Parts: sequence; C-alpha cells; structure tokens
Amino acid sequence: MGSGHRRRHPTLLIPGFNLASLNYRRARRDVILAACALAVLGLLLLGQMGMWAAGRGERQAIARRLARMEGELRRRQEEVRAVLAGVPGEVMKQYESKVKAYNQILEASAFSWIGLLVELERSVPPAVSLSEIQPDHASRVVLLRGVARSFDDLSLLLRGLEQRTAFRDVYLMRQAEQKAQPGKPAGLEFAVRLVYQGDGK
Amino acid sequence: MAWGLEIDADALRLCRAERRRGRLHLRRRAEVSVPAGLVQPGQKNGNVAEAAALSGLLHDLCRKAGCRGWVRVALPDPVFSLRTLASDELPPKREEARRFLRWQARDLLPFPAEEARLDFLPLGPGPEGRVRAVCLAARERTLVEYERVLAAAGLRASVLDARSICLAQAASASLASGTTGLLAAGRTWTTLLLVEEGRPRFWRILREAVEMWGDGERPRLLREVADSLAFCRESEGIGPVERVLLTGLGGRTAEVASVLMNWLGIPVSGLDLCAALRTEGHPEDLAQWGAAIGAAIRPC
Repeated sequence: MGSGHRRRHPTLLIPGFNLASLNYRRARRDVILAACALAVLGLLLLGQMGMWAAGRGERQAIARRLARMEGELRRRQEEVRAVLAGVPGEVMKQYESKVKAYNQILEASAFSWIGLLVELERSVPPAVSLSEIQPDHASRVVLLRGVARSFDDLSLLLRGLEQRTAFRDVYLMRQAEQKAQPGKPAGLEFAVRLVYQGDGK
Repeated sequence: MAWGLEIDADALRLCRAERRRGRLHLRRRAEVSVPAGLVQPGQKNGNVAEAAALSGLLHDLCRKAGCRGWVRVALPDPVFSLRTLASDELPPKREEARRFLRWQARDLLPFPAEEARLDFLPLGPGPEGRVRAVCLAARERTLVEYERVLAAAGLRASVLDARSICLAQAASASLASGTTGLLAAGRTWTTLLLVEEGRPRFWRILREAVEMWGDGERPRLLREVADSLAFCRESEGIGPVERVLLTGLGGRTAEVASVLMNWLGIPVSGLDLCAALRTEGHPEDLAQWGAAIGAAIRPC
C-alpha cells in the first residue's frame, strides 16, 4: 500500500487515506539512489577519461620528443659521415697513428713505476736478482726476468709475489739452470708473468 | 507540482496543481466525458465495463494535458467504505494495525475481509478510553482494476483515495475546525461527509444525483440528511454539526441551502472553493475540479 502520510502538511490540514499498492516514496528514493549511483559512475568515468587523455597527451609529447631526438641523432651521424668522407685516407691514417701514440703516452703516464718497484722490493728475497722488468701499460701485465741462487729462493720469490695484493695471476713462465761463468755465479735463470693491479686493487 | 486525477462515473478530470504559501497554483487541467455505463462504481462487482476504452480515454486525456508517470487519484466514493472502529489497543506497526483493523471490519464490509485493502487515520481515545481509528476500505480487485487501467494509460498511482476525501482536502481551510458537514452532489450520487476537527469521521452516500434535489425528491433527501446527522451523532459519537457546506448543486445551491438551513436549524452555505484555496483568476467552474485539485495538492 502507499506510503504513510499521517504527518500534518504545513499548508493542508485534513489528512487523507492512501490505498495505492505502489509505494511512491520508496520508488522515488530508489530513483534518487539510482540517479546518484549513475552520477557517481559518470564522474568516475569522466575522471578516468580525463586521466586517459592526460596520459595520452604525455605519451604523445614523449613520442614527439623522442622522434625529434632521433632525427637530431640521424642528422649528426650524417654530418659526421659527410665530414669523414671529405677527409683523405692518408690524413686519416696520420690521425689514427697520432691518436694511438697519444693513448700510449696517456697510458704510460698513468702507470706507476714507483709503486711497482716498491712492491717488487717488498717481494723479492735477497738471493734473487731481477735483470729485466717489462710492463705492458695497456694490459698491466708485467714480465720479470732474473736469476735466483737456488730453487728455494725462486719459490720464496713466487710466494712473496702472490702474497702481495698489488699482484695477481702470478705464473712462472720459464726456469733454466745457469752454470757458473767468470763473473757470474751458478743459479736458476727464470721468467715470471704477473698482473700489476696498482694500489692494491 | 503533482498531477491529480479524478475518475468519476461521468468524467475524467486531470490537473496539475500545488499549494504554495497557502495559495493554489493551478497549471494545467483537462477533462473528458465518460460514456454512460463505462464506469459503474461499487464495492462488490467490477467497476469498469471496458478497461481498454477507459484506458484509451485516459491516455488521450494525459496526452492532451502532457501528463505521464505518477498521479494522485480520487476514485468514486461508492468504491469505498468509511468506518470508525474502536479497539482496546492498536498494534504499533502500521502494517500490523492495518491487518488488525481489516479483521475487525470483517462484519462491516460487503465482501470478505481478506479481500480488502484498508488504510486508517488514528483518532483520539473515545468516551470509554478505547483507541479509535477511521478506516477507508475497498475491495482489492476493484482497486487493481483501476490501477490496471491507469497502468495501461502509462500512469502510476501514488495515491488512491475517495473523491469526497480529496474534495475535503481541497476545502481544508473551511473544514479544519469544529464539526462540519460537506454535502457534495454529483451526477450519479450525493455524499454527505462529516469532518470533525479536521478529520473525516463519517459519510453517507445517497444514490440520488444532483437532479433529484429538485422540488419532487427534495423533502425525502432533506430527511435523509437530517437522519444521517442524527445517526452519526448517536452511533458514532460525533459532536453536533455546526454547519453544512454544499457543493455540486450548481444553480440550486442557494435554494437548497435555504431549505436545509430551515430544516436543520444550523448554518448552511455553498462551499467557496476559491476562498478556501485562496486562489484568484481561476475559472468559475473551479468547484468541479475540487477533487482533482485536492488529490494534486495533498501530501504523498
């Protein structure tokens, strides 16, 4: 039956009856709730669309920027290719050899001879003498040649080198007995290969 | 602003109105005649002889007035039964109270109580301290018949009430205090409604139409009115009627009022709906629209 209406209406004094089977108030409340739900959904949808539009704008801006940068890169590469094409082969070779020499100088200047000699001084026992120290600046591989009085002295040298943190990959490359000669006592001639890491690295 | 619809045996009246700051604002109105026999109001049998025809009339009326959706409907008085019931106690919940009163009214209704649809207005305690309620009841299938006609015309009833109750609501300003009789003559029947302290308390439906208030039948009708007032005072405990308002009598209003005043010995006058509704500039036939206006402006 219809909604109750016993409350006195401010401008209508006589109350009436209601035998309607439909409940107007409930139906109106349902409509209002449905309208509110639709409005909320609509707002959410609008928000989602706004976010999507903003994201799309941002993506488009990034794509434009990327395309611009790629175009710039291509343009620079073409310029470089054009410049290189204009340089004669002989001049290029001269440049390359100069660059190679400069690099070697830079590498050599970066190599610490003093550090290497200090480390060797701490590792080489008294009965071992070094005749040749040959470093490769690029790979930091150092080749040592010398003479040890005995095999024990040579072993002492190898252990001493291995214990230093400045060296790694210490290998005995060659050993040969050297007979006594005038001015030269008998001993063991050797060659050792190692990697010099610099300041204990 | 809501739509009010009066379904009568001879016409359908539809209007859009509201009451703002005590004044009536009547926006649209439209009416159409109903062929004789199409609506036969009553409590026992079917009321609508041809539902499709009535729906068609209603549909055309709505299209003419621009109405659709919810509407507050005033149905003919003979569809309903208005009774005051007394009880030691009423269930606190409204739906339970309805069921209880429906059961209590089982011997007063001309159809099985379980087939009744009932609504009530609580009254103050009676002389013996019993709880009283004024009940309006109608047969379920009769109301469903009208609701189907409305639905077929694209309408939904938010209120179904009796024509005289809606008319009394429109005339609230004249009926709010004391005990007043409202004699509403129609083309097929006449209703005498008694309103006590702003609450409908009793009605008597006379099967005599407005034409019967001519000279020939008038004495009998006057006696019927006088007997009804005496009956309701004695059996329903309603206080003495202070005055009677007449409506629907057209040109006979002044004549009938004079005779009735002499007969009853209390003031009798025509209902001035324009004054009751505090309206200006509305047509002369506003009295005919009382029920539809009352339905439209009532709270829902």
